[in-house]
Amino acid sequence: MKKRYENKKLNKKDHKKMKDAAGGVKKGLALFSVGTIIFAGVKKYGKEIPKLAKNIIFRG
Amino acid sequence: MDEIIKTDNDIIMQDTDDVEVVYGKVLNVRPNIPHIDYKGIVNKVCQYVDVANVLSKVKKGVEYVVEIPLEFQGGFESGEYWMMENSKTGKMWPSLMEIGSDGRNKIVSPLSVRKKSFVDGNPTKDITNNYHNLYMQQRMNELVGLVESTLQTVERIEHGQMDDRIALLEAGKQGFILALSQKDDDSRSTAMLNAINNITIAQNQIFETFKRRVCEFDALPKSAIVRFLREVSSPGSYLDKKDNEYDEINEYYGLYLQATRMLAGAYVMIGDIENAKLVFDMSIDKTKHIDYSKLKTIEFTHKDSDFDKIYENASNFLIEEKRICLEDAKEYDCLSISISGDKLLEVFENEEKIRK
Repeated sequence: MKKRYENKKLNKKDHKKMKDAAGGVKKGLALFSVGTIIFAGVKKYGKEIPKLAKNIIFRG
Repeated sequence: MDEIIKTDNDIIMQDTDDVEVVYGKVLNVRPNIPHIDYKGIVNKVCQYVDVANVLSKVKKGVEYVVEIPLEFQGGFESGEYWMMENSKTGKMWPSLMEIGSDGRNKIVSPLSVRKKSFVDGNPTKDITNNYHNLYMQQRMNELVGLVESTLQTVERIEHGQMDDRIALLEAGKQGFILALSQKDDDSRSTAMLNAINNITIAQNQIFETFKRRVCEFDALPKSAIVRFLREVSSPGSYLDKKDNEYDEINEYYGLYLQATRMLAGAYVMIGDIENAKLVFDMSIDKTKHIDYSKLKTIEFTHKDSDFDKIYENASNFLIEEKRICLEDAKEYDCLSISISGDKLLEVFENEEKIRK
């Protein structure tokens, strides 16, 4: 007797490792991007940042 | 409604020197089956088959099985009133079996069939026909339930885009239910033919959608690195999306399979077995001609997983359904009744009293 159709869904856990690894890379890339933007900002306006902060605090 | 016991292609070999009984499809009737007129069946059988000449062999406390092949016409026409033949001729005969301590049936005695019974028709055939009809209706009702749940899933997938197809299948399903509830054969056939019309159109449209979706399925890259890069670069999960796409195609296939079963079942219900067979043959042929090569790539991410591989088995699943449908459509060859010695003696005594 042959097998009957059972409408079995795919098991999404089959590619969990690849999905998790890709998720890790995505997170890493996101953190790296944020870090790069912050680093670039600090590098460019580094000296002015305390002055800006003061203005914001005391004017407020 | 699953009380009726059906045995497919039962082959019963008896362990005696000179007898070997081979039956085809057997309807087994047991006293503990609810909603079945067990006494009525036993009474009918005792009127049809002559148990009187073997009553001396019936013992209280022993379990027996009365087996009655349903085709005696040949024997009757040749002038024989009971069909005692040896095993080499392949003929079948009614017999009283004793259930042995090892659970196997042993022939106590062959039974003769009363001459009058032949003239009046074959009541055991009526019994099996009634139960066969009931069984078929059960199966069809189950199928309607299955179609209902798959329809809901497909409706959810399509968000109303497939309304016309679903409406047609829904109409066919309703027509089918109405036809099943018709009491007389003529009105049932007419109602069934109307339902067949709707189901045929819906079945073909579902097939077209299934085929289109199989062809439009974007193949998964063979290389794991490329798949990984796609997973990284895709908003959401690329692999989950592909899985969902496959599952949706699978739902369509399920709906197509059920519509095909329903269509074939409708033909079986009106006694048109040839067309039922044809419905399956055409569907098998159509599914064989689809290019599943892109769909098959889903295997790259589900190598050792157990799921319905429709790209490999689309036609095989239909072939199996065809076999089951045609097997169900076959009428019974034999009626087998389990009965205790006490009950058998009681029934026979009652019958004797009625005759007097």
